[in-house]
Amino acid sequence: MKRLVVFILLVAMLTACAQPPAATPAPPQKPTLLTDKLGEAQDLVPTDAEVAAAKSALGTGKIGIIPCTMGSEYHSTVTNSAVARAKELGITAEISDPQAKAEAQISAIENFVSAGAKVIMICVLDPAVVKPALQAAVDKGVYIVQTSGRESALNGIGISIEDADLGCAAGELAGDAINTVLGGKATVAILDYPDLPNVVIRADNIEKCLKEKASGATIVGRFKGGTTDFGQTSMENALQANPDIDVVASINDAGAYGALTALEAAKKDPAKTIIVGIDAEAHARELIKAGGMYYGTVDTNPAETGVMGINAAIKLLAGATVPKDIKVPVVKITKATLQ
Amino acid sequence: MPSQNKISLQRIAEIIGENGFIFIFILWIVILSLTTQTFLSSNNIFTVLRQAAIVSIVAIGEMLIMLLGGMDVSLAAAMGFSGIVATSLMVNFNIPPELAGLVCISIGGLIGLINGILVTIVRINAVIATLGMMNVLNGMALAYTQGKTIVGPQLDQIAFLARGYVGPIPFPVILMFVFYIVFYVILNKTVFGAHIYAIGNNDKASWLAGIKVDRMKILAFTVAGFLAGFSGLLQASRQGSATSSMGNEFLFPILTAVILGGISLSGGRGKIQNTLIASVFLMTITNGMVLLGISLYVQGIISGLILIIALSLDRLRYRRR
Repeated sequence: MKRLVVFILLVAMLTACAQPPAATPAPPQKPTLLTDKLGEAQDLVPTDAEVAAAKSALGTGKIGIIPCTMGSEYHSTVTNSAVARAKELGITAEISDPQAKAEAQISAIENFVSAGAKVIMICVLDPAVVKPALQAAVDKGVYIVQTSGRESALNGIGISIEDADLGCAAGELAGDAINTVLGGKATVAILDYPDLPNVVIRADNIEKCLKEKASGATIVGRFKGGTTDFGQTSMENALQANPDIDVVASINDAGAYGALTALEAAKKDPAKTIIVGIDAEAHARELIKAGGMYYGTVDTNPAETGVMGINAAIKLLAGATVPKDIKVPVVKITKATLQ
Repeated sequence: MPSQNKISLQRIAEIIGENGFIFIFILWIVILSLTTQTFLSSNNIFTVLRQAAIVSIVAIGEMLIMLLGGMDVSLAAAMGFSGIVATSLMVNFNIPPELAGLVCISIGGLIGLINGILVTIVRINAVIATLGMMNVLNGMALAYTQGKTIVGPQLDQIAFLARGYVGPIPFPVILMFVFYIVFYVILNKTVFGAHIYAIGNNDKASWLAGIKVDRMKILAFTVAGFLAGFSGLLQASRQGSATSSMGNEFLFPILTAVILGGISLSGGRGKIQNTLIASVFLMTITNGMVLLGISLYVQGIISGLILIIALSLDRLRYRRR
């Protein structure tokens, strides 16, 4: 009983001694979000006056950055680039890594709101899971900059690297290669990652656009990729069932590396085997340049996306007039484009 | 006649009950052999065994700890972190592969030693201590790699470890069997093995009998760490690269292999050979579903059901005893 009383007293003292919440600065002018125009990167470049206004609106607050994961080169580049841009502008930006778990993004959002974030820049893993937490943040006046997903951001700007566009670009790359290198006929395996709904959209569009480009190709199935080990194990198994596989289109580069190892181990002819990935990682570029099986990848411009995310946050905080949706161009990378 | 039928049905039920998950494994093999043309090909069998090699080697370490009544959830992370350090030493600092490999294995051992100390001397619950260690290692892996893939031609020097062949047999498969033979002998023919089982059955009685319980536990965690470190090197060799998330996907198969192999969660009971069979079984499930052309989107349901049935039969076996 004594312990209980002491505990209650301690809690009461701590509560009394706790610092009062930071004074909330006056809310900035509400930004005008134009929904009828699909914006571009230059629409987000802030003026000096907007940067000053944003800093004033931010006060002691911060920008919270929630990537999909820091465990992939693409996402870590987006995030690190955003942090660097914020630093350049003299703004506090902090990262919370959900490690590719949508549920962990909910806690990250809640924690940032509690910590006084005025803008949350987020790569949404699963819109259905995260939306209620984002809505709760919006209800508290937080702006959202969304760097992924098909839906427009709640109360903010969606910098949309459409998974459909990414998938389609990879599918078209693979289709082009099938037509030019393999004479229109191919046995194709798609590396998917069904744990994440947004990524499945990529795989769906790889399949759709590949079929449109190369109607003579036979898609033998979708196999689990996403990580190098999954990609490798899946391709080893897939090659047992379908030894004729000569094209692999992957939802990312990491899974494609594993497929490459498996195809090399199966002694596939590099001149007649095609691998296409997404993300344009540095290693993927090296492989493409080297001219082996790795035919191409899709560049999503992660460094620029990070900068755009912070620029969007500045615009929102400054109450500027901005397009609600900004499209990041998708660029196909092949040996020819690298040269 | 009906009574004869009843007896034979009873006998079948007994055979199924006696052989637990192995019965399901055999049934799965029969199904795949009858429905696919490639499952029983030597090429496919070696593919499955090669895929099982790394998981099964880490599973030996997990099994040692679980025989003592503990559990280590950081082994997959230790494996990943050790592999990252090894690849980085080779790629970024041009360290010879032998030295990098030695460092890799030592790091695994050191992680295991720290886990052992946390569990025995600091007296933290094994799952909690190793859960903390897992987070530390995952964080360190991320901080060290900055999310980037570590890759370079230097890694060709270790390619043989996981991708090489001795005759028609993949080298990692040979390694796997060597490890299992060595640890089979250790567990079944040495005082060390007898002490492990004794402590798992009753650590107080073992202590009263003069067995140095804490020292044995620290040793088991350290050995498990060494095995994880070595497996990290194998995984880096298998991938020909290292990423911050390397090893993350191994936690579930490692624990499943050990539990499915019949190692009691309360310790003191289980056979090492069953852990090997369970590791191979796990890989056969994925391999078989691909060979059968089962959609990726329903593979999780089927693999889950197979595991539940196998585990249920196995527990039935112990209940009958």
